[in-house]
Amino acid sequence: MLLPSVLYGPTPEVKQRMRPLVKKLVAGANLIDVVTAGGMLDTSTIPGLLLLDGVTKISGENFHTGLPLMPLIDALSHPRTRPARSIGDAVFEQALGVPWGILGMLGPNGHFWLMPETRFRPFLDATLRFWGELDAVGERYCYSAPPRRLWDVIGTLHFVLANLGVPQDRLRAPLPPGGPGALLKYAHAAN
Amino acid sequence: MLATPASGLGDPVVIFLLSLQLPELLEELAEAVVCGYALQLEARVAAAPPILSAALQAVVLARTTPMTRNHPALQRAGAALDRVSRDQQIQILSWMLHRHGVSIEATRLVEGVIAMREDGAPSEGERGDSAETGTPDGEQESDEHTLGESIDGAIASVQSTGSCMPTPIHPEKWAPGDQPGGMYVGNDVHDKIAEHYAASHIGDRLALNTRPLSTIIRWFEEMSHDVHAEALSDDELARKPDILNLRRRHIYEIKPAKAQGEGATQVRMYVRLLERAGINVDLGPMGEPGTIGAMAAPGGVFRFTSSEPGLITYEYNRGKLVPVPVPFAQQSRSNSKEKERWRWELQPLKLTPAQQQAVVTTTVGAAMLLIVMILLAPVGA
Repeated sequence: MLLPSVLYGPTPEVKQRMRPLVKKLVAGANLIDVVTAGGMLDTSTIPGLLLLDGVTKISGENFHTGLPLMPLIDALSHPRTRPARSIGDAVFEQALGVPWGILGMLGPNGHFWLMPETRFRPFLDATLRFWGELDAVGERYCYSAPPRRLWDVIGTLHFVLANLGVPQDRLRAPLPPGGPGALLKYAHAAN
Repeated sequence: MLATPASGLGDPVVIFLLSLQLPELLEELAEAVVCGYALQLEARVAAAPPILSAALQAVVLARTTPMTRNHPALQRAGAALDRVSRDQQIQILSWMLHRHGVSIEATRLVEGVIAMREDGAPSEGERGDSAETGTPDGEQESDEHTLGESIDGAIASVQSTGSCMPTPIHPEKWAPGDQPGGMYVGNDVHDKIAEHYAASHIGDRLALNTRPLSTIIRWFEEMSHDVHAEALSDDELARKPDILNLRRRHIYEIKPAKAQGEGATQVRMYVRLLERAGINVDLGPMGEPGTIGAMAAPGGVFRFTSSEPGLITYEYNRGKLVPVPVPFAQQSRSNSKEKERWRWELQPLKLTPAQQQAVVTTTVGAAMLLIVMILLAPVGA
């Protein structure tokens, strides 16, 4: 999977890089233009973990996949710096179009991007569309150690499926062969 | 009784203490030491049979932190322990270990110490030298023989294989990078407890460790609550609670057990800040799913529990956790049969070369106590 190179490196360094990016995004810049300006890296050739939620104390060079979306949602939510709502709406739409954008919202705190709840379904559809590519990375995802497969880190996908009515025991169980989409048969009929 | 002077017919304190079985004696002394009578007791038992001094010094030692291998308290306790029988030594060590939940048979520990002393200490050239992995106190972890592995019977393995019990929890790799060890462990524990809580509350909106109050308040606003974010300063809006369940409105702080008071103050501060912003949250209930457990950590293991409303406290130790069956008599006192069939006990990790060296160059009693203190010491102590 290709991830923006700006997300790769030791945590303090990557965090530092995010500040100007977040500023640009709050000012209305396009997510994909800003984040991919430095090129992409292929996870199949570059070592390191894929850190969900982005900010972590895990050492070494890793992909901070929760960046810049998690600090961006904080900036978009702050009462004294909050820009027009349309800025957040646009970033959300742009994020749904790329696997790394989905990944940026998949960590345990990623659900803050799913306000209002009308965003649940578009987020789920986009996640299912990219699932094969996301899952193919293997046991390199983590919020806390140790690294696991993406499904094994409880995050926003589980949150959405639970809110669509999929029973919790199904969400804690190993993923069925059909992937997360196969769980939708357990969702409320209305969904 | 300690206020009563010793009479010509014998010191009543000594007579009373000698009338007790050794486990009761240790408990009595522990209580007296907690109440500040250590010095008076030391004077009263100086001329008494050596078991009293040995027991008293062991009790004092168990309360001494930080502990080093040259600490006078260790040397005093070691010398006193050398003057009592092997059976009494074992009883004292056993009391120290089991009082702290360490699952080692003291008999095997004593045998191990003797075996180590017969074997001799490892030389410098035998020590491992790994740049990548280490131990929480910064010493290099080596591949050489260890107390538990190479000295036959040094430490008993009491690992149970009961069918309904979980598997033992082993430490994870220690890789702090350039972070201070304490911060490294603290962050890891926070993330793991938060994730454990999240796994028990799938479908709830959670703010875990890294979300500031400003973002949390915004969510409440989005949910049509009448919020007053402007009532908080920028510093207050930037504060990040450890666990806030927005759906249930439960808040928790995560703290080491010895910082429980600080944690209680902090979580109440969050409740007040949110209240000022127009949002009512409750201290998270004790016993809530996801607030109790045991997990692996870098270089050790930790156990955590909701020790009071709004607070999850943890204890981090070097060692591994093994599930051990709870005796039937203890099970029957509990209402929850399922929970009481087994419990976690801490078993030790390897001794470092420096610690092994100390074991073979000090008195037998001090060596035994040194190992006990290593086992009981929390990381960073």
